[in-house]
Amino acid sequence: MNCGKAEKSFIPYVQGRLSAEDRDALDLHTSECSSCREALAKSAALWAAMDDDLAAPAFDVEGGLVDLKRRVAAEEQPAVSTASGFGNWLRWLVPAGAAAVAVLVVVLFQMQVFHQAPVPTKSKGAPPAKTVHPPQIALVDESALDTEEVDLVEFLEDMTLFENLDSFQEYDTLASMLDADDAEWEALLEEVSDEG
Amino acid sequence: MEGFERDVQLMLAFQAGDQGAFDMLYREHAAPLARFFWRSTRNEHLSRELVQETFLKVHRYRANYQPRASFKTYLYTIARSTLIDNWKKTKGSQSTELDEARVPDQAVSGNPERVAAGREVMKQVRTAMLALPERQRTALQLVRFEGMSYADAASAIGVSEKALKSLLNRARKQLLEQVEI
Repeated sequence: MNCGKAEKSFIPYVQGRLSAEDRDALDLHTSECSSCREALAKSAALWAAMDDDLAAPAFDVEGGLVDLKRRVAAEEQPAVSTASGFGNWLRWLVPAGAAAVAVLVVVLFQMQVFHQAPVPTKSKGAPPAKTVHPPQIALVDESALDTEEVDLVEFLEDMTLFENLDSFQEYDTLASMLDADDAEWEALLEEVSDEG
Repeated sequence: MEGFERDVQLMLAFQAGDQGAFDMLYREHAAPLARFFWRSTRNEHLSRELVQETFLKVHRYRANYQPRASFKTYLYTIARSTLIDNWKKTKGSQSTELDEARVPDQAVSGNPERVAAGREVMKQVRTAMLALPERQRTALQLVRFEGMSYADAASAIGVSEKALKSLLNRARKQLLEQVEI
């Protein structure tokens, strides 16, 4: 047996898990190799020093079992909401608000389309009048579109404002964009709620 | 009946709906499991919590149990996974110093070997064990404290028996480098 093989046998040796043949071979090697003899002695001492069962805290088995059964029972209960009344209200508010805003946007858009002055049709002699829009980041080349298309593009761009429904600031943004004063705004909300 | 077979039978009985069988498994394995966790965390409260989480998983996934190995191997495979999950969650923020001072006098008196090792050496060993790589430490614990065979310990860690012996030897060498014996 060489030193490399010997050191791999130290733990099984200390544990008494070596075969009689391997144990004898290690005994022979350590009787001739002082380095391995010393390492084996240290390994045995280390093994003994690990014995810390008395240091480990006691575990309350029966108390643990009661606690575990309580947890199992809680886990196996049918999935019912434990949220508070306010939590439930909030949970419904967001999708309801989203639905209301979506309906509102459609209604406002229709009102804007139907109430605005007739858009001149395109003709060879007279170029179509350009509608003046508030400055904004252009997502498309508006010069390539006619008025109706520009309105539609802007509407779709504005729709992205509602992707994040966490902020009600967007209601104000939409209101100011459409120049709706408070009274009109309330009327619109009523109309939307009536439709709902 | 051998412990191995009895535990497997108990687990199968529990799988079939016998809650009493689960209780028996808990009563037999919870305390050793708590010591296993305590040796890895040195935190009594956390050890108790990890025991409960491990048995909750045994309970929750009972339908998946297959008696391919001993119940103990199955249990410690789950325990190790629970421990690793906890480390990932806490990212090492859990204190391992809370219970470090606990080395009762009984641990170093009476037994001549323990007296020789001494209280200080035992503390050094415990500290050094916490610094071992997870697989080395778990290998050492399963073989040293849980009395598992090399084959069962290797299975619980998910390595070959040869690799397990290598883990044990590396752990031994690293501990000896850090502990004055």
